[in-house]
Amino acid sequence: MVGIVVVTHSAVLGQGVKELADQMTQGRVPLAVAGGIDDPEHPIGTDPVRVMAAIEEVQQGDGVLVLMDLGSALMSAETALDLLPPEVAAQVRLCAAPLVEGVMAAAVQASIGADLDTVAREAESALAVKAELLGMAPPQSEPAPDATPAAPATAGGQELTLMVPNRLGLHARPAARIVTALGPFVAEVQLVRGDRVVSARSVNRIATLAVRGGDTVTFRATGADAAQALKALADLAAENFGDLPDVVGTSAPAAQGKPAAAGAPVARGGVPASPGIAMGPAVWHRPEFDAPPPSLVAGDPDSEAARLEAALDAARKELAALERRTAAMAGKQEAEIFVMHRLLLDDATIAGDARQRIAERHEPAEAAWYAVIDQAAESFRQLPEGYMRERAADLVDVGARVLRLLTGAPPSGPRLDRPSVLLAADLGPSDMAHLDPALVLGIVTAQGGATSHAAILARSMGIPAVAGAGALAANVADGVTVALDGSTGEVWIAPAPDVRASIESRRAAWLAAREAALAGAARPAVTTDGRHVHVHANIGSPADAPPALKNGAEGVGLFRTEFLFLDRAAAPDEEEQRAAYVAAAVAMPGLPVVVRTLDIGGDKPVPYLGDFAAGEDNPFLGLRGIRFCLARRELFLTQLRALLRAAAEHPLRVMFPMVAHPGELAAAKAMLEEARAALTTQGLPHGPVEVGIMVEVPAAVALADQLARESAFFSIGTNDLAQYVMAADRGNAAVADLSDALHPAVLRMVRDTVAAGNAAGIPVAMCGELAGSAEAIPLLVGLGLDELSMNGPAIPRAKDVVRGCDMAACAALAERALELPDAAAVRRLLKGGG
Amino acid sequence: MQITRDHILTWLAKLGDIMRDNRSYLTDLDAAIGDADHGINMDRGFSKVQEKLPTFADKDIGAILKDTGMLLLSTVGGASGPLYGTFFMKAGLAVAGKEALDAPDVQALLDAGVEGVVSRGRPVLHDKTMFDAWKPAIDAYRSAVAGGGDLSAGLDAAVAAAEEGMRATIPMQARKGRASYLGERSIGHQDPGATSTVLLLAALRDVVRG
Repeated sequence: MVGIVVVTHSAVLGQGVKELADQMTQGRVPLAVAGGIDDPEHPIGTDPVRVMAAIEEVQQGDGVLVLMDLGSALMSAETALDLLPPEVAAQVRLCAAPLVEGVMAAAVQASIGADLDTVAREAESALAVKAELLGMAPPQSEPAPDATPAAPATAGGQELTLMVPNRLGLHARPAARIVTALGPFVAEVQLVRGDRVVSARSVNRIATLAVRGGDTVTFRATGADAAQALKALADLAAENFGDLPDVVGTSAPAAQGKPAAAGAPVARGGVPASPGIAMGPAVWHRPEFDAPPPSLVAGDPDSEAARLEAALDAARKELAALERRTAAMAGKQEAEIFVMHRLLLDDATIAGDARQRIAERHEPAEAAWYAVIDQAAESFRQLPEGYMRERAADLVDVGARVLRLLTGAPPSGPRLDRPSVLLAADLGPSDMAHLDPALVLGIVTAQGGATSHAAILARSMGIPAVAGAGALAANVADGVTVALDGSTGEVWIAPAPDVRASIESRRAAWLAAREAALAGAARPAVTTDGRHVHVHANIGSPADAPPALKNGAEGVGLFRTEFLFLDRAAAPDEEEQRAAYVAAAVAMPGLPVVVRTLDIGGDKPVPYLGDFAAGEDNPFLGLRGIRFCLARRELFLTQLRALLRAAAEHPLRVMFPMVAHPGELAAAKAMLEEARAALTTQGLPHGPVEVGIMVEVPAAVALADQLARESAFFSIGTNDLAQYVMAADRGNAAVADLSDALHPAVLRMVRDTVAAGNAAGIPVAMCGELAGSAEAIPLLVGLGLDELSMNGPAIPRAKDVVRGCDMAACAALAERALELPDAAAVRRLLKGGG
Repeated sequence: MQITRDHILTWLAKLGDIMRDNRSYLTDLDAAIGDADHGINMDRGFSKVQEKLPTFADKDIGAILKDTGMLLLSTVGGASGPLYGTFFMKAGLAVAGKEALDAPDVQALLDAGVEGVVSRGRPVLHDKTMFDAWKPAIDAYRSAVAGGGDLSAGLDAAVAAAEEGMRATIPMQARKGRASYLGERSIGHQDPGATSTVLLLAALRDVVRG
């Protein structure tokens, strides 16, 4: 593989570039940084000897590409060549590409085994690509090898036309996956969108097409293995180009700027964003992100800077909470937006610019922050590409949050006092998270599209929405009746009486259908031949329980308690923990709640635990789960006491994570009894708890018969089990294929666990990600699992699938799956393909 | 008259003191037209040479110069690292194995070193770089020795020419390095690289004079 060396004056800069590249290639490419010099007081500079060492470190015989920042970096790189043995130096190429883009492009090419010429060429094309994206250079529809004019399919060539399924389109990571997928083939492959044609073997080139989710594109291949290359691309597209599956935004054209004649019914108002019909009085929500008053006086720069840091810190905490809340309400993927918001907070160009304004212009923190966000959002709005333009709302959202925390104003989502149709220029995800679904009949936004987070959240909350309605919405006064159909994008302003009647009957029909679906959610999931498969919820905090119940959860199969311990300065005390466990149980009246004790280890640093277990070379094989708790007796005893006390009033079950063998279970149970004895001595009320274990270590499967004798229940954690069984890290793309819970090797572990549970007469649940996969559920039912536990939003669908299952057919399916050689074959079987 | 190994060792050791004494001067010159680190860089490099000198003092002159070059490469940091580093390494190669240098040896040493500077930075005269001091210096040395002068006379001529070249950089507009970003605003300032070159040559002359 071609190696890459990054030469920078600043070690931090070089490291940052390396992180970006490693993210693209999962660290597969040998890449070394020669950054800075060995002088703590003046660390900026370049060192030819470091460059030489870096080249030696990454050279594997296929050549090394060196990218440099500027000035002496070039001279140091040249000097390094003189220092190297001639046979090594001959294989080193110094590259004039812009550093960041060049390294990214080179790393992706190198990762697929391209030769040094190709890697260098790809890196050097990066500058042209950037100029093109910024509109400073004409789009390349000409020169080889990057592009040729769009033309009808030529004889001998083959084409694959498809709609891009992933919501975000072909952004950098899917583009990298396309280039990677084409690596093994020799065929020339081009990507065509509209009249533009680019090489599909270049991340940079693919990026210039700005392909969005829902766009139709064509791959055109010529060469001996063209068919196989297109097949590989088809497979990749079928897997969402490697992105998580999600809903494709329906892409009706936005009708921006349509004039709105008040009183006239207007059809086709905007982009259908969330299905459903609504009608009601309009209420405008205008986000409170206003310039601070000019009269605001700045304190000294240090204290203003400290205030900004405190607000940023508080904002990070709020976002972490919103992330959990949204994950429970709308699903994990929807919650990722708040991760992105946290990244925006950490973005050096934003916080850094604000700090600089405070330091240099002595501005108050509010004014500095406002100015930076306002400018950045404005520059997003100027971008030609819709997806990026929609991110302006995110920036304002996160900006308003910090501004509010700086001014100490209370949080203000849209305020409604009666059921209304909410109108807004755009809604940020925070606004959405504060909405009361009972009062918001529907949403019409002037900006935004089907991929805006407001649209996605509206869909998951079941609120009808139309986005991108433009001036149509802008002219509506508060109180005017507005109706919308989120399936068609129609919006009516002050509809005439006959139109109202028609809308009302459509809404009644839609509501009836929705009621039926929700009522269905509460019914038990019973197979066609009468087996009841319990469907429970995984929750991360008590707040997740009510929405899960609404989705039809028959209990909590996994209450992760880590949230109590993370993002804070000290461990939660017994009373705080007891309150949380009680709250979850109260939210699930009369239903079983399984509380998993702390599952933490060296991979999740917790400051107040010191460096305990931190810095382990391999935290997943280290002191985590029950091992960690047994080693931290005080911490564990506090949690067990809190659990036992909560159990005094509510039926709770306790589950120990990462148990490998009976000794650990015995030790944990002994501590549980120790905690109970202490409570008895102190005269504190406590209740009985059933004790079960997570089955996620292969050793526990091997000893399942022994463990079953000592457990009241098993719950299989498929994510960890798959990793440990396959000896493959899910986070390592090179082996992620292996670490698949659908692998027959993992499924056999499930079978054996179920068998041991059945023999001992205890129920066996599954609470890993696989349990919530609608596609896999017939197989899981066939394997004989008694209970499936999943995130709340997945429950209605999962129950529907169970209701369509026939035990005999599912058992036969499971038997076939167990005989297959790999996970891909199991997936084909589940798709009905083999 | 010859330059002995002791001369070389004394010269290199003295350069540590000289660069320390001129740290602010060189940095101020660089602040006017560059990134204000030339004095810091040269001081760091030659301090390191001074510190490590005992570890290679018993080698021949060629090897001492080469080791000096390697140390400068890895310690100076800015563009002057590769430039002076290459100068000393190439100079060392030209006098490999020698325990003493006569006038032609010194000419070979200087020519090879300056050739290294040229190969590294690709300067031409009037770019406002250290080459504007080096080039007249080696030309003057060659003429002085060809005209019958001894080693000491050659070095006198070289230093005088380097000083003249250094002063001549003041009205020049920079065309290389960070200073070239300044365009016309680089006019009116003496080049720091040419200045450190004069310091280096003058120190050699002073050591040889005794």
